[in-house]
Amino acid sequence: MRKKWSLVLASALALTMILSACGDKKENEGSGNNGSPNQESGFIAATDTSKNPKQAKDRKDTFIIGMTDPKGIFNPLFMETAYDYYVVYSTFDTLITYKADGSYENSLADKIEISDDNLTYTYTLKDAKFTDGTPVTSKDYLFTWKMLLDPSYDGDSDALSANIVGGKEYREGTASEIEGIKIIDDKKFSVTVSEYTALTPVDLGYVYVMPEHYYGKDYKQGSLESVKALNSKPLGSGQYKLVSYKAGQEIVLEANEDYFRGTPKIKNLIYKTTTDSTNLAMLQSGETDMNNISVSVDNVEALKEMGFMNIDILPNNGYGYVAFNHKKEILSDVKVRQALTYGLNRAEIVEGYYGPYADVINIPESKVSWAYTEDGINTYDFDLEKAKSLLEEAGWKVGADGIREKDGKKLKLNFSATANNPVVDALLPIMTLNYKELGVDFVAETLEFNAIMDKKSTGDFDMFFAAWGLTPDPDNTIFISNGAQNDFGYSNPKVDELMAKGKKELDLEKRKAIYKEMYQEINKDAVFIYMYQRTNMEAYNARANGFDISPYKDFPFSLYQVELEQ
Amino acid sequence: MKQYIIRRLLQMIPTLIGISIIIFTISAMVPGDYITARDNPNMTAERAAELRAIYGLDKPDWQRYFIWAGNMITGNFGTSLQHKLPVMEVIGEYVWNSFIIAFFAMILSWLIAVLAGVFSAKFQYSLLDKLITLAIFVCMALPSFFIGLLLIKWFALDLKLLPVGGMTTAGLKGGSWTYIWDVVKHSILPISVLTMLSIGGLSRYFRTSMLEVIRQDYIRTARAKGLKERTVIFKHAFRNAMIPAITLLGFELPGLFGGAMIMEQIFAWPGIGHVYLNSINMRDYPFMLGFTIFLAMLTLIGNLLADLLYGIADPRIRLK
Amino acid sequence: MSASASPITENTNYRPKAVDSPWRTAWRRFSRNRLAVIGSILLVLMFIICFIGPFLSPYSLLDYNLKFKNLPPNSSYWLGTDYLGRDILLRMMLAGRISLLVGLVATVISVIIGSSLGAFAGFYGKKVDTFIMRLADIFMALPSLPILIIMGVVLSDLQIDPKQRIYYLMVIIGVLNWTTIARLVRGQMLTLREQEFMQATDALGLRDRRKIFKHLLPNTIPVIIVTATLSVAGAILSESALSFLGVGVIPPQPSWGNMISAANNLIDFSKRPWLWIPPGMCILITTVAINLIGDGLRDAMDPKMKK
Repeated sequence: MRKKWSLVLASALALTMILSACGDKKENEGSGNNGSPNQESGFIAATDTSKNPKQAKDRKDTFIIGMTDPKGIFNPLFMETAYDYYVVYSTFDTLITYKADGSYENSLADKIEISDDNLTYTYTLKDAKFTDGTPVTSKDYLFTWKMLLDPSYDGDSDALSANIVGGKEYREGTASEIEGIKIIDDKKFSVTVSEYTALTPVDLGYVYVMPEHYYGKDYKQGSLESVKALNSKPLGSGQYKLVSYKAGQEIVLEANEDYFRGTPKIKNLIYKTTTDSTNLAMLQSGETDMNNISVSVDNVEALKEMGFMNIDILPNNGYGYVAFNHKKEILSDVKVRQALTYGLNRAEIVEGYYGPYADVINIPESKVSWAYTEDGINTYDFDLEKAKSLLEEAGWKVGADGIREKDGKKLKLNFSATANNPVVDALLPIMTLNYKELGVDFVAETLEFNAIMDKKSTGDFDMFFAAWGLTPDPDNTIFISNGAQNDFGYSNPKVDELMAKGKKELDLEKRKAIYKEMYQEINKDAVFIYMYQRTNMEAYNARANGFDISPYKDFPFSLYQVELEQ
Repeated sequence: MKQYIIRRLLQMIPTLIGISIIIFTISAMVPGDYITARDNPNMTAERAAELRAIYGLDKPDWQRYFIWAGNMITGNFGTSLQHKLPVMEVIGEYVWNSFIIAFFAMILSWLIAVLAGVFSAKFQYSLLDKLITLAIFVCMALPSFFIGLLLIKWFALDLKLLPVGGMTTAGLKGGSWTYIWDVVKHSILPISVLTMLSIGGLSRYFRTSMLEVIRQDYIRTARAKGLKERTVIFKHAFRNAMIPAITLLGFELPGLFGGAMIMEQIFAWPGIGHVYLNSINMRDYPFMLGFTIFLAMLTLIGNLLADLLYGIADPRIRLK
Repeated sequence: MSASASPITENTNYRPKAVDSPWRTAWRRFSRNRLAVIGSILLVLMFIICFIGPFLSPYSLLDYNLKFKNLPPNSSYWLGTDYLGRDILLRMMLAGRISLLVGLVATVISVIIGSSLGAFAGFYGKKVDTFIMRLADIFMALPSLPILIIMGVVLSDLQIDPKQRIYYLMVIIGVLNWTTIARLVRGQMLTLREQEFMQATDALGLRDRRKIFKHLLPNTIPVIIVTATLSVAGAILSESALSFLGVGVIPPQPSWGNMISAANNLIDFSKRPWLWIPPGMCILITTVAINLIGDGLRDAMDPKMKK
């Protein structure tokens, strides 16, 4: 599940989030936990805090958070895993930050003014200091962009897509300054873009401000080696500052007394390395205070039994799906794809592993997103008879050996999934049984994850099972013809048209309508078999109060507000 | 003897070259690369191409081999794609943690295996032999994660005697003695698991060896001469029985530094094993290749040591 | 009184005692060894249960029923059910088919390759020895994980039936694991080669092949047997590591290894022991049985053992 985390958060990083209409205080609809009648989620409070282990109770000013070990890249430019991200968010700040409902509010930015042509954004900074006492100024923001646009930048952010004027020239090395970013004074600066989209305010605002005097000491355009050397020694303006880092073991942080939102209430914060096998046990023994535990009926029961843990179950920003290769003849027929969807008992598969903690979904969008809709969406409920009749209509008749055939060809389908995956363990037996009854010659294999991804990129597959994270914004390149992520051969001109329209539209209501139509098309075309949207679970010791966690606002965002019961 | 050593060391060079070519070919044949492993749905095709160019992944395989091999010769093991640090530095951060566990487990397991093996052989078919054998079989038949889970449940959760995992208590302050004692407490369970896993094979092996030797004529002679049984067993039988076991010592060398992937997972021990496994899953080639070559060198040296020790211990062998 | 001497025509009950061939002696000693016989019976029983048992079960491989998930042993499910409501007893038996075969195949292959190469290396020495030993070095230095991943992909590309892939893989594992046995056999060879009985074979002018296979190797059998019996358990368990990598047995097909790893978390481990005790016991019994047989074989073939 580690990969899915890094996807979700990496995508949040990748500067693609929608800003509710500029300056408009309209609340996002479809956010929060409504619209999920089957899925159990929400907050389960601790029942008996007297069971709190002594180890934990004795920690009056320290909070220990368990997580998979990060790579030690505590640098907003180069971080790749979700766990490095947690440390970065604890130590750095951005101009704008998430609210619980997925919209934005100002963070380091005090004021944001947007020109009438939507091309120039003027920011005024709040009074904030880096943890070494130096004030945060405009030149730090400019410097951060220089690093992002540097020719040798090999991190994840696609800085050029922000379309900052002069960015391309800086990247190519033909300019030594970025024309589009102008410093007006220490606290005020403006950024001009050549082209705007609904994502521009986020591209420009969701940037971690890094101190020039620290990271830029030996920086020269074209080489970021001196910056990378400081990966494990971050210096930011954020809630905490780094005290020590032991690879594979722990990261010790101390509260930033001059934090611009007020001194964090917990003085000492430690991120301790845990593994899937130890995370529950360590919560139980009191060696850790908090962890992200994968949701299953067993785990939730175990946490409830402990009595001293608060449990927060939230929908995950992502979904599991079975992909079809639309370029293969058998699967290019929409009736066949629909039949395969009707013919698969998705509800039982999901219940088999997740119990009540995951939902079957029918469109590639999270239930908590504003773009989610159930209007006019076919839920493809399990119906073997319907599936069989669809196959008959498509010309696939049952042959003598029980396998359907058409024009001399047999209905043979290859399917790949990763091994050692509890969902696949529930999926394969049920799928094998279902498709056998449908008359499909179903050949399933397990393959290593990268091998499946490789097959996906070369188009050498019929069907496979995978999951990925959702960007909070519905815009993507999966469903458009020849899109960068479209290795499936799907092509529908109407979808292409709607996707392009949605990207340019700034009004939220209008966007919702556009995407609704788009999802209806995708649903009709049975592009994939959408399997499930699962949940995530943050469990923390009940002596901590003040967390504000949502699917869009991860736990590090509210750390400074949390206090420990004494 | 010296000639032999020099000749073997020289032979290592073509062997290493051969190994490097094979390992590199294998890694090139494995599908996917670092970019596909990241599986970032937002990466544009252009960005992917840019990154591949920066990492040098777009060059033809044979070119990449020579670049890599050339760097290796000068001691440059490359930079890990995941950690963004030189491979050797990453290894250095984790390998000593693995070494501590492996070293003490090795000493313990050899000690116990020798004792158990000798005992079993001396008292073959007795009740003690059968009990020891049964215990050893149980250790062998159960996978490591089971033994680990069992120990965690008993000692860490039920009896609350030992910590669940990790190498140290988070945020521990205090002098070096507090620190050492903390590490000792944390390492008791991992070392126990590793020991239990190894004694299975080792003890059966020593037992067989001992049984062989005990039946030899010269042992009968020693007893006939009226020597104390203890002398017969430990001075004569034992030393002869241990000779073939010496080869096994040489094999332990790469194991000391290779890390134990499963054990590290179970106990959240900051060892090199899971870093290596990760690098394979994420196609972090520089680390994968660098560490494999590191282990390969240790294997070769270990084999050389085993052969040398065998030659020294057994006077009947002539190393030519 | 007739004291005439007559030729001995009576008392023809005397027959010169037939000297048993070494194999008959070994067989006789083996069958008298109580423990070895018990081991053999256990192993045969295991095979019978796993290969014939499933035909007697009311359930079949694909059966599942979510209403009956995670039940402890009861009258309809003698060993309980797993998280999909599948009968553990049936799965244990079906798993045995794979695990038993897989363990034996891999071991037999590695023993054959390893003993032969080790024997040649130890016997001929010099260039042959060097070549084989450096070859062993290379094989030992190869990282098994990437190789297994590639094998998985190759088998997938060749469109080999997924259910058969596990066998190909165990052959590969057998091939990759010959080095330990080879080194041990070689070590033994180096010692034995210098002993007097080998001088006798020289004096007799025996051919090399005869020397190796009829005289030297049999003396290394104890070592081979021990290593072989140990590696069977290892092979059975390593199959579950293969599943971990994505190249093992494909669900819903069970194997003892993957049944145990499915229970690899604190909760299943402590609350639902019926999930892992059956496959665990099977591996234990199989290991014990094979080791008893191995011990018996070794004792039976040891010329120095008193009858």
